Amino acid sequence: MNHGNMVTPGTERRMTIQEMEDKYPNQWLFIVDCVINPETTQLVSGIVTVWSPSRRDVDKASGEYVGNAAIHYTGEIPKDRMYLL
Amino acid sequence: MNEIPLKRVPSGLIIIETVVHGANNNNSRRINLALDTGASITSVRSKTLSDLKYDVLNPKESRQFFTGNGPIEMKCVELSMLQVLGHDFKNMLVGVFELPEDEYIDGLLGQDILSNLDIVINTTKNKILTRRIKTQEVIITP
Repeated sequence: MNHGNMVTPGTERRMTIQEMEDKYPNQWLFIVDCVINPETTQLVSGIVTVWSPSRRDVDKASGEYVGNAAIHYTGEIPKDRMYLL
Repeated sequence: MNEIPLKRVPSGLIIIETVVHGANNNNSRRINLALDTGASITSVRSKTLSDLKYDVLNPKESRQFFTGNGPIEMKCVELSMLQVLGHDFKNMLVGVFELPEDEYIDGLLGQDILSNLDIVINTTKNKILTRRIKTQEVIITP
């Protein structure tokens, strides 16, 4: 079973959302040490620790982590995914 | 007023970045909620809440909500804090939303939050403008 790709300890670096999307296209990311813009509550930057094409892998990382973090998908949400809320 | 870039999923829903805090202040998750003016209460994905150590299996209360498919019973938990659109909301009661594990949206942003804000959605300029108009959350009574 794939548990996602972990960034090698010691090589983590802070990236903006744009840098993450460029480096990890079409991936789910688990991001720690998040910087949030207080005026908009939007994620500005953080440190990617796990990435995977499967949300299940980053959900697993989230369940094991205590701290400030975010889950972010860098791909396009399918156009045929419709919602009725 | 706070000015936030408008984000949508391809099918049109407006997505709002939100930070949910755990009972412990050192624990939070940034998630994506769909703006839903037809929802009385904000709801958050069960997995997110359990990651933040909320007891979603044995919540203190559950409430009945009326949906297009009839009434449903939804568990509710009280969040220590929720930050959204540049505003902080403390001790919010939110619904526990069961969503598929591959879902892109983590819950709904409902009227319990929205009714505290002046909110303008400008689709031409792709912006949301907000201003806090109340200091107390609306209490939803059964």
